[in-house]
Amino acid sequence: MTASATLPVDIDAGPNADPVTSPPASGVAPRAEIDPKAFRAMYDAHISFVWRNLRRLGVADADVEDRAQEVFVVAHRRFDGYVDLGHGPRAWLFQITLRVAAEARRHRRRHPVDPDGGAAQERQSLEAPQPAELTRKRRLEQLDRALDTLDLGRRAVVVLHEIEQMTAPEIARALDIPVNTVYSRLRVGRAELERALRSAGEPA
Amino acid sequence: MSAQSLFDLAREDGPPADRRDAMWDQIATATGAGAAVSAAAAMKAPAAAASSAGGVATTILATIGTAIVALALSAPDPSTRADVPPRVTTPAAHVSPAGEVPTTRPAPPEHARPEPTGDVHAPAGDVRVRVSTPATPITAFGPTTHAPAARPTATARAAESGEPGDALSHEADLVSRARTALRAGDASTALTLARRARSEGARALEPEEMKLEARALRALGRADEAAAVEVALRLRHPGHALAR
Repeated sequence: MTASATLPVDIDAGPNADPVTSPPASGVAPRAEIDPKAFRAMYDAHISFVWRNLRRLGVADADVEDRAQEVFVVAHRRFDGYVDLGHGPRAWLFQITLRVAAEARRHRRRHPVDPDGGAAQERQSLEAPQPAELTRKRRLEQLDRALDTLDLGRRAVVVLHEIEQMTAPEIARALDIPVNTVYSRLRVGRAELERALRSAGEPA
Repeated sequence: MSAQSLFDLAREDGPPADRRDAMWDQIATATGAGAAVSAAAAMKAPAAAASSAGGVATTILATIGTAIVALALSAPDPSTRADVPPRVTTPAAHVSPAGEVPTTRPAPPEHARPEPTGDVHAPAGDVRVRVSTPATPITAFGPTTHAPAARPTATARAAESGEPGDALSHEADLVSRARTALRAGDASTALTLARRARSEGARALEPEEMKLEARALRALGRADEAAAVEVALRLRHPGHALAR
């Protein structure tokens, strides 16, 4: 089953597609005013959320900064269409993040080699790593490898529930799927994740 | 380490503090969202952008650009009637990119003083072009009209009103309307709106406005002026997609 078939949020539509909360694109219609302070506040409050979800959804370390910027550029373009349904902008931002992550993964599959030949990665690795930081990175890489074994639809549900601690109804709203589907994906996704961690030598 | 402890670890994941600011700067540049917000970014911006080596390089480029535009404009155009000299106009007002100080221009020579109509005719070959450094807008003008020097910039007005998003929203609105008018075939309205956007807005969308202005001028048959605006666009925003 493809990721797009499992998610009503049409990740194949590309990152610029309207999230479900925004009205249909109206071409050249004048946009509502965007309060720059409100947008900056949203950035400050949610950049970590966007960053870590991009990583957990499989965006490569070298790409995550560019993709996080892309999420907020799209969010800025769609800001006038954002409607707070009572659970803050996280669900809305996650929809954009999911599309951007899907696009980044597709791009990485098509272009597996860094255009700079890995120079950026090399520069990063030249910094003297602290032992604690190394351990943290290694653990997160293990988690990401295990998450990689999940279909994107289940992966999104597991990430939102286990890491972002969103409730099933919140996840259902964010992904525009029924609550029962959230529960079933969570159950199957957890089992798959545990199997992947066990096979990698990690006690689940 | 259990799956739960991995999740706990992942919950703490996020960009380093210095990367957050760097990313915001990029986002603000791309969206214009930081124009009125990021005072810190403004302070970080090179204060001496118009000075030292950068300023010298810019001056050299501007001089080259001046020569190119002057040649382009003074060359005889077979499509232009001999008795109708090329008309070169300038936007009604100029807003500096940072919006701090209204641009003050030296008074034009006596023979080039503006006429009340706003459109000034000059003999062919007497059209001069001035290309300013990035701190001041580049416009083609010979005998031309100037905005009143005392007029506050749009950003300054927005700052005074306490609503920094006003100028940007207003500008985006004008650009949208200009584009709509151009699509509808109303090039004259599109030209007016594009010029208004350049003079009244926050100038965050200047490349779009200049391109719209050039397209509108071309649609009106004023190819010389369109070419001048396009050259100015290339000089002011050499890396921009619309300048290629």
